Amino acid sequence: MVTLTADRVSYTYREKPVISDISLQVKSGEFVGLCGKNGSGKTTLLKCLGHILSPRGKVLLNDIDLISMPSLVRAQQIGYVPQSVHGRIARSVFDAVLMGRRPYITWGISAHDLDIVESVMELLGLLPFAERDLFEISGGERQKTLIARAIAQEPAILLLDEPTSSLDLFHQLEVMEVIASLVADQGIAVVMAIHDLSLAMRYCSRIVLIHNNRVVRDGPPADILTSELIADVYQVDAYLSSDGGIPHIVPIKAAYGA
Amino acid sequence: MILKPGVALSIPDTSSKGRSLTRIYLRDKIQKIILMGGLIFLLLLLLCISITVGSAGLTPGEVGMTFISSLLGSQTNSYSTAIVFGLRLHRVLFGACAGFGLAICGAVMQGILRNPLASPFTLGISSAAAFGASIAIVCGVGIGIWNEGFIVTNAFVFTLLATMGIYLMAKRRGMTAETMVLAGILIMYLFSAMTSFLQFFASAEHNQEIVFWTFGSLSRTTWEKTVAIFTILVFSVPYLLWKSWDINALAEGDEIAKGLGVAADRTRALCMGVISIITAGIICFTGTIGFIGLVAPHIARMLIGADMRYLIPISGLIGAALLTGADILSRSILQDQIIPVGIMTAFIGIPFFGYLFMRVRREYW
Repeated sequence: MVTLTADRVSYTYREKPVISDISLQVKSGEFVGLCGKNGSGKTTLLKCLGHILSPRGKVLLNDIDLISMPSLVRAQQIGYVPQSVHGRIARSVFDAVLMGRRPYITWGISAHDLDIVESVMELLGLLPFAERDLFEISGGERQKTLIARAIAQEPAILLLDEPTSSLDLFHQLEVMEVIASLVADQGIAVVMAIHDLSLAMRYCSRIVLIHNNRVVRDGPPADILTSELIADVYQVDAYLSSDGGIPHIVPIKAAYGA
Repeated sequence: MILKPGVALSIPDTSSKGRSLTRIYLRDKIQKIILMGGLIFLLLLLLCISITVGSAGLTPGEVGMTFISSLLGSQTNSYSTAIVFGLRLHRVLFGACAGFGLAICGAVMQGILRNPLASPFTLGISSAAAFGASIAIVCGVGIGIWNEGFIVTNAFVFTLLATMGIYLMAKRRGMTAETMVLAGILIMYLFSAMTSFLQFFASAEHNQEIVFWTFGSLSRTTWEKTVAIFTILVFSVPYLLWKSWDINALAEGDEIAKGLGVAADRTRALCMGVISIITAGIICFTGTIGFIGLVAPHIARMLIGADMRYLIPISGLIGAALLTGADILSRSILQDQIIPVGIMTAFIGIPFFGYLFMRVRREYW
């Protein structure tokens, strides 16, 4: 059992608070959806949880402060998937996923590393693209490559920043199913920043709602994603439905001045 | 409490899956090793040709006999020994080391700055070295005890200062690849303007010397300089190879690198420090030799991809072969005249640079 704890975490960018005084605990087997408006601080919170940014306050992994943890050990425990690729270096999909083994290798690559990479790529349907260039494949396949790289790290905690934002319907469901199965079968903890509230409601076991740089609600999806709260936080009139047993949120109109 | 590695994935039995990636990986690895062997052979061939080229009137046979005689310790022709060992061999070996060093500096810079146009030349480091040398030439001011020492040490110090300047300016602005390259362009213009300023007041003789220095030449090499640059490479190349995975990760962006456990800022600073020493060690002796550091890594990347574990040595071998080849041309195109090798590398490099520019516009490199 692994626990990631944020203890009164704050982060300011150019003297402007992005997240303020956030405390949160995530345990193995939880699938946490981080919801909130654009600019509410979801991405910053994810980066602080993964020690990509160094916030005020503490982030603890099983009571060990991430600051005092060797960076490679931290990377064996926490995988982070950014929203997009920043590099422009032509690299094959296989090489990109293989890089996920960095926390375990110093120079050479073992048969075990190759097995892990092959399994992860098969899991995400990336094997047919193995030798293709990262910039020759579709945005969706590229996003899946980033996710595959983080899974190849074999992390106990996976942090994902809107992984479905550039995916079509098929790939959205495929990625969410894969992540949900990792949570269910391997017992990893997932924290995912997500805009699609219907997907969040369907797959996440817990929703953390961020508003004005702070956590305003934290609990099971059905308790958090209510019409009233959506109107309060997003200024959108919406109703909840569960046709065919699948919960989803239907936005009706933007409630200006609400 | 000691943490175990994260959750181990339950890997299904892969024996029946054919391990297609293992096959691809091994095939690629063998291809890269064969390529490396081929490049080493090509470089040795070019070195052999290079040592036989020159205006001393020695035939390849005489050069070969001089080598064999000195290896066997027998009586040798003192004229050919003086030409081969006193003039040519250190020049040829220095050229190979310089090409190797400039190319790996370009490869590492392009990786850690995530920019295909990064190289010691395009980041303004060579301009800073030229300014340092110009101060020594025009004002006779510098660190050292004899005049050539002024030029060399000034060029070395200004190279380090320029690299540190690029690093510090970019760090202040948040260390993105874009800010670092902008800082490099700024430094290039600044030092070019200051060199021009010095040239404006300099005598014709000094101007000629400055111009000759900025051409970039292997004519000023000695055995001591060759040993110096070889020693720098012996210590720095293993370090850069050891950091290959970290540089690979940095090339994907700081967030990904940090997520993979790489101390991004520290690694970039250390790698910049190491490559600035290599660059300074080379161009303080040769003057401005452009394009090797830009072109060689691109050729290597097209051949074997972006994995720094192979890109560093293969870029180095290509750079060494290119500079040796350019040196052969520079000594054999005109009779009784040696064209500075920096001009030859520019002739080879500029068409390639244009070709790359077209590729970069497609955001692919």
